[in-house]
Amino acid sequence: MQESLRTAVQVGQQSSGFVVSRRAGGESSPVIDWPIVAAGSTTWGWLPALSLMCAFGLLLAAVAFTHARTGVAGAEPLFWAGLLVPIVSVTARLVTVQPSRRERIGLVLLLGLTLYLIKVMHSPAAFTFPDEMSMLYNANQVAESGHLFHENPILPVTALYPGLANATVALAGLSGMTIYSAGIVVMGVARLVLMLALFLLHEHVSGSARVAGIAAVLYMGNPNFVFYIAEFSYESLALPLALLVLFIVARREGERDALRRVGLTLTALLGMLAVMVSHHMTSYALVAFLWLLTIVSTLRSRGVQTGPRGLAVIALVATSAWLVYVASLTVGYLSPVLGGAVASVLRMIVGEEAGRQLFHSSSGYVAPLWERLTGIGSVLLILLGLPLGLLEIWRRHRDTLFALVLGLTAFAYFPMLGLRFTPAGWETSNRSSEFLFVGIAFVLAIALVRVRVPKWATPISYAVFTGYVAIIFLGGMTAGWQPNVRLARPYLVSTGTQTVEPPGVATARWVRSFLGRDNRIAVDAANAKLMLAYGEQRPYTGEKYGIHAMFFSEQVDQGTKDVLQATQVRYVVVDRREMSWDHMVGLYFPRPGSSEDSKTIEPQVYAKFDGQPNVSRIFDGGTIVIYDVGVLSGVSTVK
Amino acid sequence: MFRRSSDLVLVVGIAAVALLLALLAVDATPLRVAFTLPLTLVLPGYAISEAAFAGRAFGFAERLLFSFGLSLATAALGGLALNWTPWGVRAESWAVLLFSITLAASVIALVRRRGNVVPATATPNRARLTLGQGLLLGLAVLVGIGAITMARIPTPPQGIQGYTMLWMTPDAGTPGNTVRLGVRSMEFTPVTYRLAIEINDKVVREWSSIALAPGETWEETLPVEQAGAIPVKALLFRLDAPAGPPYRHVEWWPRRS
Repeated sequence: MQESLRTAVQVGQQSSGFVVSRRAGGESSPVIDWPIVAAGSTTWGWLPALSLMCAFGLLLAAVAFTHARTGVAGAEPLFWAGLLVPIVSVTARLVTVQPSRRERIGLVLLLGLTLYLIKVMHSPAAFTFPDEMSMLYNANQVAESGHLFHENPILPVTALYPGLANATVALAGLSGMTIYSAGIVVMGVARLVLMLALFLLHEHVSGSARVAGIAAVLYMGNPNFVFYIAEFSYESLALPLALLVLFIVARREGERDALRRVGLTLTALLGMLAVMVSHHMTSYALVAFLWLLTIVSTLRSRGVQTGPRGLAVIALVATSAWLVYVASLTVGYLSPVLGGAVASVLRMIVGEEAGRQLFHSSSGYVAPLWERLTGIGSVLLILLGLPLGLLEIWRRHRDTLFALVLGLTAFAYFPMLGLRFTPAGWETSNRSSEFLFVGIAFVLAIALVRVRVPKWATPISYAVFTGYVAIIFLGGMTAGWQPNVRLARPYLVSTGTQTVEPPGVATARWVRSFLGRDNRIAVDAANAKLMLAYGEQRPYTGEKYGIHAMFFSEQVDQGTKDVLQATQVRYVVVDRREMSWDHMVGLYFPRPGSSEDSKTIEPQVYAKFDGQPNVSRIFDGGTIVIYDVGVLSGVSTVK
Repeated sequence: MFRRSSDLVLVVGIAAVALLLALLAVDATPLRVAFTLPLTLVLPGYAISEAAFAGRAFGFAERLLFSFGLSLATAALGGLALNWTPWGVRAESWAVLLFSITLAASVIALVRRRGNVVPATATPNRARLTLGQGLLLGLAVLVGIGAITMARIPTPPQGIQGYTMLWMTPDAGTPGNTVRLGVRSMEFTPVTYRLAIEINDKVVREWSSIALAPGETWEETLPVEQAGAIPVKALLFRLDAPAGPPYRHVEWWPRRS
């Protein structure tokens, strides 16, 4: 026993006191036993000091957001500093060999939570991202009615995956908190689950807490980490649960204790079912990963071992059943996006379509030079690191099922990168990153820790590794989030005695109070979200029903009447600001001094309903006017 | 060495208090939040993981993951179960469900723990904070709270325009043509308005001085008697800018009898 313990300590020395043992013969995935306590590892190391650094980063971000809301110069550098201070300081510690496992876990959780709080500080008073308002509507409907599966007029499919609404309404109902506050807490806990599951998964697969810590930080380089998968949205709950399942499945593989294996199976099933009812794509990604594990295990053992086949079958059956019997709308929702991406690639190949112009957003934003350099640099660094990491996995970890499959997952980065060059494929590529980076981060971390340098160059190597991670993080941030909403915008304004909401929010509340709920309303993109979340209306917007074209016509002509009659809208809400058609920024007050935010639509366009016989102008809020167009659409009653 | 079950007793105790607070619908005080938050986000997962792995428990990090993660999973799925009951997805039914799951899983864990011996080496060392580290952590928490507090401060009104809302809607509760008039000030300073009601370019009613502080609302109902398809117009002027076009205007086409 003592001899094996000594051997185990020697084997695990590089993992900072963590014991890794390998089985003799058969499946040789690392078995993580209880940590052997090394000298000094009973303290928290640099965690307290780095907590202060992270708090300082939060402070910088808070100052940045305050400056941005008030139009004071210098907000953007402060914002980037607020992000980089925590990232660089924590990464600089994690890349070294000194931290204990406990400290590494603490640092990963600290950093994950810090970046989450930056997102919370971006919109501390209310949910402001478009998808958040759809989820808010869903949660409110469940809370008010006591039942699930209401119709969501803007994003119908979201109501068919009620996992997030359930968790949020449970907390809000039990605690008395508002849906907003409960949602913030639920997302915060989900963030902790995400980071912990990621760390433990990578640690179990690699046998190294150091690899796990570095991989966790590299994961934060995925373009959607800071904002998209932190927002109050169904994927933000499903993804952490999926990673929990993957950790449990990894832990289950090779588990020799029969009772513990049963426990792992049951908890994996619980997690899987929760993912299935929470988000479509995450459940499909989980099914795909489980089947990849099964296939790889079967192939390399020539059928002797089948990996998590049973769980894969259950996941496939359950997810398919949910899709067929509950959430069939998902097909119509995802098909245009996925199909569009494929079609775009094919058109590019045959030369029918030009490639997408990089660093140019649909709103006209052109990325500055430093963003372009960082974006390109981060991709090049990933492309540099992946082959090294994949080679290392093949050399040292090919006996480990999960390591192989994570490597395959990372390999998918190459074709997905190509999608970014297609106009319709960009979104698919971007949305796949939070799944692919589970593998990419692992492979890159494996590559980093295997780099051998002379002892005198160790500090330099740590600095280089830190820079490597920081550039990937920056590249992900610049690629993943619309630039004009990275910084906070004015939402609540205080007069000293009163707090004033943006006009769109106040208007939506007015509509609810004075016109009742569930009216069909033609409206711009930003106000549509508000009319749904705060007004409880049935908004019609965008290209789909011809609403956009109707809004921008200069006359109330037959085309206008055709659209109104086809959609049966009773009210038209006209916001004369151009920014109202950008659903990311339209709900805010215009930024002080911003000429972009001050642009208005042509008067002959926004005032075309004035003077129309029997069309009442029932509400005038300055920038927002509401018309009762029942006489044009043929709708004479509210419902 | 047998593991004591005081943790399970504590879990069930907290869950019971949370159940009580939720069923009594105590105001959303810190006390209620302090007990109901664990009932939703920690206790069910902890109890389930202890039931699943009793006597063969994992380390602290894994148990933390299971506590949070399986609690979220339970909440995500629990609503489905409640949806198909007569009680629906309500606070009371949530409280009963989550308490029941926690209790049942804790009982299973307790039963399974009996007779299980956990190796002594499985107990990890306790974390120790030095005084300096404690001070650093405390300072970090203070700075973090300060940052969040700063971010929550609403924007001052400089460079931003307030707004006023004017409306005229039919009063559904009154027979004939009666309208509900309203003015709500979301300006940043007190404003005094003049409201004129016109039919066929003739002022038929006027309120010459409506003074509203920020956030205040003025409302009136007005019966409208007229013949023909002529709209009723409401024109709102600011007394601090009396000349020029109306500040706000609405118009309503009466229902034809």
